Amino acid sequence: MAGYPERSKADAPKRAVEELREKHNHYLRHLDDDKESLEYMMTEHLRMGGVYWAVSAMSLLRQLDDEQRRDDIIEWILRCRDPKTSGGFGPNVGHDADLVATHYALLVLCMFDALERLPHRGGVVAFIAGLQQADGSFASDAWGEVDVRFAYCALSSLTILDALDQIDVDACVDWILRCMNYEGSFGPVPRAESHAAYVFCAVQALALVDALEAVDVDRLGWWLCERQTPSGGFNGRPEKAPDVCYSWWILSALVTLDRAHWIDMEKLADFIALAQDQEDGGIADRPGDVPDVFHTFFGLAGLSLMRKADLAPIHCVYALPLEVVHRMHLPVILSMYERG
Amino acid sequence: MHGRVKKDVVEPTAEEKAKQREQVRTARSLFAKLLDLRQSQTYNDQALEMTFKALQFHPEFPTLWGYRRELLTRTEKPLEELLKMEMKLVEKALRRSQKVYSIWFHRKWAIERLFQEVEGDEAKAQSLLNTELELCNQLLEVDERNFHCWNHRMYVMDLMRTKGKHDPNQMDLNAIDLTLSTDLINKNFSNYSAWHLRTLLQQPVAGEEPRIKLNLEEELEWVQQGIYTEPNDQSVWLYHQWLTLGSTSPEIIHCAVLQGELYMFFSQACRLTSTSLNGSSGRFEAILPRRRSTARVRSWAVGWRFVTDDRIVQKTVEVEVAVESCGTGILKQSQCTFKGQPIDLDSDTPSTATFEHQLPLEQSEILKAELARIEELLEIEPDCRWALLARMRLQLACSIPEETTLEDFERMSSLDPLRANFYADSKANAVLHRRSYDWSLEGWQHPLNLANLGLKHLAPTAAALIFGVRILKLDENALKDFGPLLGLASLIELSVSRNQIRGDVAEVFALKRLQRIDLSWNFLSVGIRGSPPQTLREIDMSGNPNILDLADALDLLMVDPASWKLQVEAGQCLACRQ
Repeated sequence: MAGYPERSKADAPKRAVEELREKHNHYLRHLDDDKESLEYMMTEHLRMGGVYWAVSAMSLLRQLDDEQRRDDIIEWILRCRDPKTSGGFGPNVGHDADLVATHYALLVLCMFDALERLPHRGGVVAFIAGLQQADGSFASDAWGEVDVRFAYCALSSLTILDALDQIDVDACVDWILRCMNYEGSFGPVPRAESHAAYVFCAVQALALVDALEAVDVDRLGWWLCERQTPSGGFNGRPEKAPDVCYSWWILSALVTLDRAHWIDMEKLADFIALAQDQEDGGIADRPGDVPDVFHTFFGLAGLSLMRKADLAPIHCVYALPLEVVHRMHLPVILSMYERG
Repeated sequence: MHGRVKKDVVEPTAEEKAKQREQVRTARSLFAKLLDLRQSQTYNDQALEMTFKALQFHPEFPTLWGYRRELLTRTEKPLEELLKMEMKLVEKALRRSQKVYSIWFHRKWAIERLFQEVEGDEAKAQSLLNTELELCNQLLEVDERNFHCWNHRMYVMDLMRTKGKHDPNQMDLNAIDLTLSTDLINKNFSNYSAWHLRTLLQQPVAGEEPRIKLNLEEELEWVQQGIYTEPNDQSVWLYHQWLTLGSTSPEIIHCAVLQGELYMFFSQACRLTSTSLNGSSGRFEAILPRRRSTARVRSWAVGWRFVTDDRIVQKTVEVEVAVESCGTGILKQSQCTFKGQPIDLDSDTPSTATFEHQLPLEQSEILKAELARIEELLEIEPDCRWALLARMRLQLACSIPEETTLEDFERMSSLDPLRANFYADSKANAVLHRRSYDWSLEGWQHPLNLANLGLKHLAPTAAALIFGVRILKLDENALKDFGPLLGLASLIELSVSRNQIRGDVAEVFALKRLQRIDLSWNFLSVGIRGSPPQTLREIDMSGNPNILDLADALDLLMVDPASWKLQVEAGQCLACRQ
């Protein structure tokens, strides 16, 4: 495997998530202790994502029990609504609304069972529907940046809000299929190189509207399972270094395609376990690196999909705990998987 | 926070910390001021200056870039000059952070505007694009796989191509692309991004001809060099696969008449748009019904049934089909014609027609030559699983299933244990393919036995090849749903005992000629009201833990218990029409 150094398999021996449960919990609870730090300020434009990752990670650990914090977060999310738009959410208070932040905001409200506290839902729907382009794709915001992430966010959000009839689903599906390459895999925009994170977006978007028939499941499944490297971790493209985030992007896509058995789950779980910060909790992009909330969620989500730890099960399409999907009676996407 | 090694992280000193706090305070107050100005829709030069400062400090702030775009479009200063400055600001930001969407997007926006500003001035436009391409090249030097940069470059090249349509002095853009690809690959054969560019150049874009036609022989030879240097490099092998087997268009693999109805199957899922049969227009319907009733999208399918009031009685037919299929970057439109005699599934004549996949002679020769080359490689590198995989795929494409060696699967599996189950499934499919072929030599009336192969899925194309089968045994596999089985309208007897099928018994009532079905020892339920085909005489639901009461089940399935004999002793759950 050329091109990347195999990091030392961390100095500490591998420890299971169960052993570090308290440390992960502690790590997640103290993410925003130091609001005056440079790092906290420099990531303010990513806050909505950060909140989603932290809340879902805690929910997978079954530690989502702080009522005060729940109320604070809900209130903060409602303040992130961008008054310049019909009802989209920005990634932080005072920031411009975009589709990704709007999707994350909805997911967090779902997890907190607080979707009914969202006033004027039609405004959110109008914001999202207004971002569909003439070719069927979705833009992130009024400026018009387009890629397949936004198609997934739009289809998922509108499924949750039961408003898919407000957009041209057919045109969106056609555009997503244009992002398919000869490997049966997907890139961010038509003709761009295939990339596993975008495969997640494309596959789950198509699954949401029951349009997976155009996908050659065996071909794409093979490309995805070839992402597993000898370390056990996945890379996102051929001959790249493995990264914990693909434990979610790739594995969840493989579950949707019913090809998750094509990888070695034991080794993937080991890779994630090694990327844990043994001292301070949290999970990093790969063994030995500094953890962050993003990879902590993706590591736990991967383990949850594999049932490799005592974690709440996660829905591979909605990226919500299964229990939330059931409670909300969201449309069943993968009957086989959802019935357990 | 990618790639920050924990043990290299140094805790800042008290002094550094204090300095950072000061920085945070200053920056925060600047950002807060800007966000306020933004909300109050203030557009003046001072704000423009402030965003410049703020973005130099923090170039990853999308809202500030957005505000800046608004300011730039509202200023009264000459835009061309401003935008040129803007390019400098963005370039600085890019050299600092090369993986931030908002910076790349702003760059794209600025170029687009600048391009509009210099419209009509060819020299200026060209120099602008050259600068841009040069920047991409420099950034690819830093990171040859940066996908932001690659996608930006594609965008710039597209701009140049559009512009070039009216410019006779346009340089040869395809040559630039090809040279870049070749150079990068020669530098590092593992650079899959460069290989991807190479495939793009050789594929048609939006109905046009491919941009470049490379000599396949020479290309294969060059790839071979890479393979010999690093036989386990994935990038080279993926390109090899594309070169040999990649650019396929949908083809008709099976055309048959069953009880006066015409069925047509394609080598990949596609969408049929307009059609004609024997000169008169009609429509095709996807054979498999949708799984969910909430679906709002048009069907993609491998198998299609021609919907018409008339039965087909002629021996030969002429079908004209407009086919839409997925291709790189586009939904390809193509025309498929079938002129001749469809297989008559109501007769008992054997036919291997569906398995005689005809490659154009030239391509077939090349593939066979390539097969020989792979054999040579395997003599030197017997442990190269990529070569084994290529051999298997080439053999399949050349329609020599009898030559594929099943031991290869075990071999690949031991060489590459991570994907052991992929090889196991592939082996099951290879056996299925061979059994189906042997069966087709015997004739439709013979049972097709695919029991106990370890099948986890039945691919739609594999089902297409056996369309016409009347008696099918699939017992003791690991199927999880009926899947494409429900499209096998020819079935009279189906047995899927001892699989792991979940779903509803009523689903099988889509098979309108069914007489006997064995569903025993699965995980099926009864919940949907069905209308069983008149032909149905026997249904075995034994051993499905969710089906406890046979009489209740039959009632739900709308089977009139009076005319059926129920056998419920000794764990049996079998109903036979009297």
